[in-house]
Amino acid sequence: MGYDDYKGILDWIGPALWQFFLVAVAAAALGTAIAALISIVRYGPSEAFYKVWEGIFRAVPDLMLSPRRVGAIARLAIQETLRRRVMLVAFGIFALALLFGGWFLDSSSDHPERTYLGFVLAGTQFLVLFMGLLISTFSLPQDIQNKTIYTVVTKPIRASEIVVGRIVGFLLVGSVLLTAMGLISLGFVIAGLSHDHRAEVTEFARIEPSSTDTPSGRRASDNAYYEAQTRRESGHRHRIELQLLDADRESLTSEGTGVRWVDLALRTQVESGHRHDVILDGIPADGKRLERDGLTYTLFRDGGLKIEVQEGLYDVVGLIDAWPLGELLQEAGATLETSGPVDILVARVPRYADELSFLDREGGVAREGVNVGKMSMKFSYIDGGSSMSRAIFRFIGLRGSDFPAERVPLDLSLRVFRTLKGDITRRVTGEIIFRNTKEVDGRQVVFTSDPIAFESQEYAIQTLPIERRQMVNWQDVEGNPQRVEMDLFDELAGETGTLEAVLRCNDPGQYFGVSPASVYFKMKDASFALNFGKCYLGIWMQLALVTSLGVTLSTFLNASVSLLSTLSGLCVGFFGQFINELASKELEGGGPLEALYRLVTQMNLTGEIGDGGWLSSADEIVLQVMNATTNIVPDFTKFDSQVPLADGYDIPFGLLAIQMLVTLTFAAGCSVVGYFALRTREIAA
Amino acid sequence: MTQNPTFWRKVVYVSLIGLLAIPLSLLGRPAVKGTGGGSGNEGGVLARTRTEHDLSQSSLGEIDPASETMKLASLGMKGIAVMILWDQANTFKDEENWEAFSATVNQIIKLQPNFIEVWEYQAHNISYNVSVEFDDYQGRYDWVKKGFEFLTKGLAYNRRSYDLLRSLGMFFGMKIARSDESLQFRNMFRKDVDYHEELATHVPMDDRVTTPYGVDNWLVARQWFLQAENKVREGVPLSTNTSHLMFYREAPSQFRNAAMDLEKEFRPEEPARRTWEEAFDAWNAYGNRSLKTSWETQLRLNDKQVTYEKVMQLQRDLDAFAPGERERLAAALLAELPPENQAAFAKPAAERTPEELFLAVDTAARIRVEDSLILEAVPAEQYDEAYRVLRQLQAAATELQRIEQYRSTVNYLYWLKRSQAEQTPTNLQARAAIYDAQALIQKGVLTTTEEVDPITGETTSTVGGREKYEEAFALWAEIMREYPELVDGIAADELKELTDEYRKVLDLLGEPFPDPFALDFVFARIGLGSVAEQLERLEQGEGPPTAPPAIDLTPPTAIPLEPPGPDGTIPPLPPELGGEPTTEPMTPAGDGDGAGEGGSEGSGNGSETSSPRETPSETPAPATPETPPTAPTGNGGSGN
Repeated sequence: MGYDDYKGILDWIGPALWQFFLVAVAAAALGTAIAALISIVRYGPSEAFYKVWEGIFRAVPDLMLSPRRVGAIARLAIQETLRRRVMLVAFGIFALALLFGGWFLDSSSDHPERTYLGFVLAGTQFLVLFMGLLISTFSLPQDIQNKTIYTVVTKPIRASEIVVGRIVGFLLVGSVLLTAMGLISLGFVIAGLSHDHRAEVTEFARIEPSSTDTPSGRRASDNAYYEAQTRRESGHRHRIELQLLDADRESLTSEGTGVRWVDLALRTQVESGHRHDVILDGIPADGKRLERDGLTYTLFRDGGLKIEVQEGLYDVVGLIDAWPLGELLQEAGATLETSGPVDILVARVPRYADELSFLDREGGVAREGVNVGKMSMKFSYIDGGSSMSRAIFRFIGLRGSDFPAERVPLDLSLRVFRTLKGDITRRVTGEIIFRNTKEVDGRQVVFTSDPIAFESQEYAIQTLPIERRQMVNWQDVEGNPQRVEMDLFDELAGETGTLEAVLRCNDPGQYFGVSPASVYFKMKDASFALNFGKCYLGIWMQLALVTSLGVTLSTFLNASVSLLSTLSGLCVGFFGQFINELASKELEGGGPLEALYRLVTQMNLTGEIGDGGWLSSADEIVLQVMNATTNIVPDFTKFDSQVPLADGYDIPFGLLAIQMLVTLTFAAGCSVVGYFALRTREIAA
Repeated sequence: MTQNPTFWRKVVYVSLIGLLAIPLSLLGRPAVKGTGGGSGNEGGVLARTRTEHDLSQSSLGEIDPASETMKLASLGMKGIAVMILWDQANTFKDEENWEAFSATVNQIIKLQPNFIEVWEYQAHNISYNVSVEFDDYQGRYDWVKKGFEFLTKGLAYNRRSYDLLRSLGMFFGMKIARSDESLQFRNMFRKDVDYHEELATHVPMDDRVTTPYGVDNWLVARQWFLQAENKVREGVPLSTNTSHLMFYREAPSQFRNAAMDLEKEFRPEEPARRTWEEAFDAWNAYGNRSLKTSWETQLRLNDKQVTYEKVMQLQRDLDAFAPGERERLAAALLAELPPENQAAFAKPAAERTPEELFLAVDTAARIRVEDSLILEAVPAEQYDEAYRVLRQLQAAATELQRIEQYRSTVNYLYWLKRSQAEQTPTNLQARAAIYDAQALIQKGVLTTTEEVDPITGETTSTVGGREKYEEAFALWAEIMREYPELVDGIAADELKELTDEYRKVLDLLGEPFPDPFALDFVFARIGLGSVAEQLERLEQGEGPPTAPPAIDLTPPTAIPLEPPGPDGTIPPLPPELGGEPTTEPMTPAGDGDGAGEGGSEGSGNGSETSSPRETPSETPAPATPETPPTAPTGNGGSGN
């Protein structure tokens, strides 16, 4: 799934800045109060006041960093990391995993790209974060323990620069490692998925459109007349169909009606989440012409076939049957190969609808569709047949310039729910119309396109090529139906760019499930390599968060404790939502103490503990403390773009900018805390 | 001074470690095999337990490095990891994220590779629950197959398990051919050459699983069941809750399943007949197999007649000690019964009405004389000898009862007769006629049409669906008369459905249902009455007639309805009591399901009926105890 809930950085920045201001003020006040309390205990009230103010005033110049000194500390941090060889170990493990991991990856799965990407990204993420955890938490405490820190603090260098310098240094090391891993991973994924197929041209068998009685046992497309299968590669094979694309059905002679020509094409069918382009080897790029029985056959290298009638009267089927395909291809000296996989590593740039609303069975407006009893509430359902149920996807601010082609891809990812068996061999059908309400001569007029029918394709992204120019219907002031051709975006959507895509299910008793991301216009396919890089940038930001946290905690904790604390922070970052749900009682089972009790007593999650007493109270306290920490550590999962990348969706730059701001803010906050913590220690005094 | 406490602390730590090492050694010491004549040792408690229960990884199945690594990497927290993964799998299922679900399930089995129920549960989950979430039947088929593949993967890890093989047999049969999409699934499976290649590494994918139409899923299922039998033959013990009756029933049942589906999908011809023939041979071989019972005895289903004869002989031997006593006691009991019972019992069987037949059966049960009562009339000097005969008689009667009970559980006689009947040319013609009728109806050819060529004036006649139905019903009437046992099984249900189809055709043609109808006697026998009566009730909004009063039709051990003839000949067991009105000898277990493929043990002494075939009668008979045609239940079975 893509980022259908992402609304842009401008919508985010205002509230975020306000929240940042509030948190910064509260944190400063809290920090001052704690410092004051400690000082009072140490030095007495009057001395404490002086100490606190001195600290604050000294902090202002200390937080002014010198890039040169930060750079020097960073260089030291890099040298130290290289000396410890943690990076090399991490890289070695990664290389080994890639060397042997390929043996165990299932390239014949439905979506091998997801398997490959999941493997390299999870491996990279784990190793990089683990490395960041180790180098960031062990560095300072060991320097302090070995007294080597004095070689630094005796120099004219500020505590803040020690903290920031280390963070920067470790991050630079991590960046190099991550870049290397990213490039190798990209090569590994592309190479792992790369394959092509061959097929025997003599194996083409005549089939009937939509028939299930095919040599492969699979249902033929509605426009398919021949079928063959490729050789098996990478654990799968593709069906190849000869599909009818177009035909000129005009009258040929005065003796009767006939077809003047037909356009056909060989197409591979989707298997394991991808298809291939057909290549007819032996056929020149500009095509090869053959003639027989008054017909001219033109074969094209990309699998296209045009049959033209010179003499005689034919219908479409008669034309196709005039020369069996296998014999034709053999005569032409063609061999059939395919290109590499198509549509497997993509980065779709979707234009999601701004609003989703529903009409119920009687046509009334509803906030949600029908609940068909699925556990997941992500999809809401509309029923088919004569029901008035509709799902309305409202787009606002559409711009025609975003869709330069004459045909715009409209992607659908629907769910289907059947209440009756119906025709098993057919998928549930539906239709989409585009409409907009505009003011004409002071009255509201609804402009509606002709319905675009489709057969649903569940658990896949189904692309409907939509002609930009559509025939649109409306009624004039006298109620007479009018019909005119309009551009979907420039004319029908109008200046406001408002367009509604109205979805309905055609089959009685059957349902379509939709979510806000179920219908969108695909603006373009962005670069997959770039998208891959964006995903790695997300891992880099996670590394930055871990490193900042680790270095900060190591300023006042010893190595092992800071390691454990950072690890805890990492857990909170990854499982924050789980902790929130536990704390708010959305999830059963209680906090750590209650969970331990249940484990030991082998009690299930929902069993009543009884009075609970001190256990429940103590557990509640621990749970709330854990919950509070989720507000300090950023949600690491938000930086994780593996799923959109694997699903083939572009990661918006604006989202990356938001994540980068969060990362930098957290790192800055950690640096300030680290600075004060380091200053309280005698070494940096 | 400061070193002393530290030193002593270290001493304490080392001592504790040493102490802990003792139980650790006792528990975990590995077994050592003796070499060069050495005796080796059995190892610690854990090693001994592993050996005792065949739990070591190498004896359970394949050692998978990935699986072992994952188990080790969980650092003893395998249980927690498994729990989290199960939870995740359920979440992914709820979210309909099938890719992630599948991946998580594969991780679970890496951690629990020898937990058979996990394989079975998740394979069922994938094949049955996930597959149906797909709207496209092709997607469903792919996920059904994924479940099969998942289960197949489990075989390598669990070489000593026959459960997985049985599950595979069941999945391959039921999921492909008993789904809503069975027609499409079977067609796709038949053409799925890639999957056939994969399967060939596990089961023979040769002519044993192939019909002229292609690879048949039922026959592949049979191969899985045969492999399960092979496991048992190789020494894997059948668990105590696995019934031998049900276990050995599975492989031979698959032929008839294949035959029934072939008849639906293709015009019934030689391939269907051949498959029915194989079904008969396999089922008969099953009848000859010596089966262990839940009473820890052995029996053969085909031994019914032999045992029956034995019982009758012993009964005669017992009666010889007190001649006429049984008849006297029976007459006394009969005299106490209501006159209508007496009248019904006295009437010749062929002349009884259905009600009288029920009464006669009831009477026969009520005048049954306990064998022990005969003993009371035996003279004292012969008492010991008579008592010995009585004990033998009781033992034989018990065995007969058990055989009957087991036969009833698997509906043995019905399927034997069905396999026999389905091979007959009459039946094939009837089935072909039905196939043609349905095809014609689908094309809209309801009845025979005649067309006159305007040029030549010749008339051509095209037979319609209605006539084909009528042809089939006439043929079936013949079959039902020849094989009355089929009347009470699913064959009658099938006829009912077909009759309904025929009635709809007549409705479309605006014609009344024929009265009398060729198959009226079938419906009368199963208590529905003639079709005309059924339609009349339907018009009046009435339900089906109430069933006749419940009468215990359980065979009264070996007591026939009529006593032995004066010449001492033993009458065959009446069909009402599960007898086999056939003279065909049961062929001994041989090829096919026999020893060659893990079939029966020994050739068996197939029972042979000595009486001539009973004349088929149109008189409806009461339901026999072998009526249940579907999944049998009862004391034998844990099977399904």
